[in-house]
Order: sequence, then structure tokens, then C-alpha cells
Amino acid sequence: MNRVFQAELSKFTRRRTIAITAGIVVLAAVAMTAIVFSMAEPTATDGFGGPSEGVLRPTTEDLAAPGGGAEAFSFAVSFTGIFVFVVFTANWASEFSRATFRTLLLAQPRRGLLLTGKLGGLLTYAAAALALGLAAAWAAGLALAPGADISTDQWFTWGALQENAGAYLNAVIGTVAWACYGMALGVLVRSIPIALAIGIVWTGPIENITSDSWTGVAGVYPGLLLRAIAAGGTPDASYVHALTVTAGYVALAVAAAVITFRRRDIVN
Amino acid sequence: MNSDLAIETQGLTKRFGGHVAVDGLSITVPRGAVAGFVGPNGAGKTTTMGMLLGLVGRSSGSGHVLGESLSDPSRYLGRVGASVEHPAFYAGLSGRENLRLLATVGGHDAAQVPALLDLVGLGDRGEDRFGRYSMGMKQRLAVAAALLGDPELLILDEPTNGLDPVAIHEMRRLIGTLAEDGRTIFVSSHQLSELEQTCDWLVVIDHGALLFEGPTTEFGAREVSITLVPQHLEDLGRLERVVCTDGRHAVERDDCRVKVTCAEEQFRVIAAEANRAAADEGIVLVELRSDRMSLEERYLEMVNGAAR
Repeated sequence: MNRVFQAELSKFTRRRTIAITAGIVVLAAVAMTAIVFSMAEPTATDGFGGPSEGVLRPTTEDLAAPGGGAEAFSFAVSFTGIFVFVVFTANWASEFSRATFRTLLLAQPRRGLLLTGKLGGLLTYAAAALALGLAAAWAAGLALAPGADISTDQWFTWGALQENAGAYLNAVIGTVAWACYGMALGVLVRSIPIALAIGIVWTGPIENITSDSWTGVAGVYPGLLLRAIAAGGTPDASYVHALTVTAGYVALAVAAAVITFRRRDIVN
Repeated sequence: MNSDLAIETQGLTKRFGGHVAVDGLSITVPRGAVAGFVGPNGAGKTTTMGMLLGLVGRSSGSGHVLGESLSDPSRYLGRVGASVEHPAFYAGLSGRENLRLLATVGGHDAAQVPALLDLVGLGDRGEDRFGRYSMGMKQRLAVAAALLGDPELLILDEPTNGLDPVAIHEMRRLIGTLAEDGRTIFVSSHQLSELEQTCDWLVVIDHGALLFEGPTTEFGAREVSITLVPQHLEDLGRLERVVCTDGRHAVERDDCRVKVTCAEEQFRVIAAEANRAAADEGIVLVELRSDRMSLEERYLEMVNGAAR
């Protein structure tokens, strides 16, 4: 696994790839921070001016709190899950459609090791990108706070460090889960367009439309559970519940991917 | 299990649903041989190679590669280099980066990458992205990847596929060079002519079943065709009936000749008897000729015969 992990990481640790990733992450973090700070109001809203429900847009009070520096990051991460999912699904499916899995299997025939090593490499890179995103969002917030008349005194306390670590951990958990769902779908379906269509339709229209008419699904649907984790829990799904059920889903997704991959003929 | 064999299978079978792609195939490839694996498109060559390499599961049968059971490819794949079907690498990485990545995955020394690129003639194009390579360059990179770790056995699936005549010639030369090191090479093609110059061992299959296996010199060399051309074409039917009436030899007729195929050691007797039979029937022959069958003719006859 260690060799596959190293090889997977080597694909991303090229200067050009790092520069592009860092540029996108920093740009997105700064832009999202600017939006959050410019739209922050003393009372929580749903983002459209109405009273808040479910995922909240940070208030000026939230931004001045110890975790204020990570608020924009957490807010952004709650919406980037689908992006992570798309990237990971496309990555896995393309290994089949472009037959690169075949080439890799000739070098590493232990399929379980190949799959988990690749996943580890991808997640390590994603975790590094998230750390950069958090740092960029925090720094941008520090620069923008005086203009929005928000105090950042609490951002330099021990509590702030814990809040930031918590926000980062939640982001990593969300990314790991989305990545595993993407891997399972990519390995099971093997076709980029079909895998993406299934994933996007499920996490977009199906989860959101049915959750409007049945609140109970917020504690069941994988995408809504991850949103609850990113928000530190919602009225419909507590943090612990979301974490526990998501852990089960992730275990199922990884098991399904590994079992399928180990049994499948690589014929293209 | 025979230690002199690089590849040995017994009753290897692969079914995809109701379709039998490989049908009880039992083959052997001696160590150190340059073995050609020949069969028409869809004969089961790639599926067989996939089973040898652990990419495709067996429906039944068994086998050994480099003395290790097919049941655990991880025990022998470290000593096997392979390229199966079209070359598949990361399009966004350069040839050199792709090889380094595979060296890392396979636990091989990445320091050999520049030498391998030079060996396959990509020394000056190693930094180009794989996505920009021509088909010939992609095939050569696939051979370089197969050579990582200096394997004892090379399995190459149609390495000349999609190449122009010049590139085919270069690939043949490369395979010849690789064979000089004494490693076993198992290379497939649907065209025997591509392999007859480089291979000293042949395995011929069709519809997933074995048609021939043995030294290349034994393939086709034992067959001789005797051509009889009558002076008058209206005698063709009678000529066909009177030659080789014992039914032990293949007799074919076309618009202007009758052809008898027999074993090399029998052809003098058969030709003389045919000549005498024609004369007894009052048929004047304007041509009586014997030809050893070319490997290609023998292959086509074998495959067409199997198809019938």
C-alpha cells in the first residue's frame, strides 16, 4: 500500500499541479470569505433574507467568536462536498475507462492494496488542500474583518485554535466520506458520465426535494448527513448521529468498492 | 509443473455469460523461448493473457507462470513484464513520469527509467506528455513499462497493433533485441507473418482452443501442396476425382487447378501417383508442381479448417 500511496501522491506533487490546486483553493477561500463577511448580518438568515433553517449563514457574532476565522471555511466546505464527490467519482471511473487500472494491476496485483493505497494518496492531497483553504480563509478573514467592523480578538485564543481544528476535522471527515462514496460509485459503475449522473442526481434533486417533504431523511441521506457534520449538527440530525451513520456508510462504500474490484475482470 | 516451462496451462477456460472465450486451453511455453501467440481477432489471445496476468478470473482450469500457480499472481508478477491491449497510461503525465510512477508501484528502481526510454527509442521524448504520443510511441512506452524490473518473462499483446510498416519493423527489431538477453517472450498477434521472423515457438489458437503448439520450424514445414494443372480446363472435375482416391489427403479444386496437400515425406509418392492417374485417364498435365506451404498459408488453412 505504501508504494501505491507514494505513487498516487507523486501524481499530484508535481509543481504545476500543486500551483494550480493552490491557486484554485486560495482563490475560492478568499472569494468565499469575502462573500461571507460582506453578507454577514447580526441575525442568522437562510441566505435569501428569510429566517434561518438547517445550514446557517454566519452572523457577525459568529465571525467575531473564537471560531470566526474558520466560519467562512466551514460555510464553503458545506457546499463543496458535491465538488469533491464529482472529482473523486470521475477519478475512479476514469481509471477504468482509460484502462490505467489495468496497467497499475500489472505492477501491483493485490487489488485491495491498490485501491486503498490510491484512496490514501488522494485523501492526503485533499487534506493538504483543505488545510491550505482554512489558512487562506482565516488570513483573508483577518484582512477583511476591520472593513466589516468585526473584532478578531477572539481569533487568537486557545479556544480559537480548538474551533479551527474542529472545523478542519469536520471538513476532512466530509471529504473522506464524499471521496469514499465517489470511489464506490466509480468502481461499481466504471463509466464517468453514468457515475456522475447518478451521483449528481442523487445528491442534488433527490436528496433536496424529498427532504423538503420528509424531514426524517435528514438523518438518513448521506449528503444531508455530511452537511450536518459540516455545520456541527442541525436540528434534524445531531452531530454524533450524523457522524455515526456516516461512518457506517463509509465502511459500506469502501467494502463494496474493494469486494467489487477484487472480483471484477479487467477486460478493457 | 515443469521447471523448464515459463508458461504452462491445463484446461484453461473463460466464459463470459454464455460465450466461451477460452475453451480448455492447454499450452506450454519453454523458458528462454520467443513464443508467438497467434490467432484471428477474437480467438481468445487477450483473454488468455489476461488470465495469465491475473486481470481476468478463470472459469476453470489451472496453470503455472514461472513455476508459480495462477491462483496467486502476486507470487510471479514481480518477475513478469506485460503490456496487454492498447497502451494505457496517465495522459497528463510525461512518459518518464508514467514510468517512474509504475516503478514506484511495482517496487522497482526508478533509476533504470532513462535507460529504458533510450532502449525503446524514447530517450529524447521522455518529457513529452503521454497524451501527445503517437501510437508507435505509446506502444514503445508500453514495452519500456513492461521491462521495469528486468523481468524474466515478457508478455506482449499485439505490440504492433496500429503501427505503420516502419514502426512495425522497429518493434520487431526491439523484440529481437530483448530476446537476446535470454528472457522468455510471449507475444501475440493476429498476423503470423509478424511473428515468424522473430519467434522460435508458436502457439496457435482459434475460438479459444489450441490448434498448434511447438517449434516454429515444425509449423507448416511438414505440409507440401502439389498443384496439378490440366491442359484442358474441362478435365478439372475428372482430375479431382482420380487423384488421391484414398481420401487421406486434402484435395481442393479451383477454376484452373487441383491442389493436393500432404505430408512432406509423402509428396514424391503422391505426386507420382497423381501424375500416373491423370495419364491413365488420358488427362494431359501442363503443370505439376510441389510447394512447401508458407507459414501464413498453413496458418490460414488451419484457422479456416477450424472455422469449418
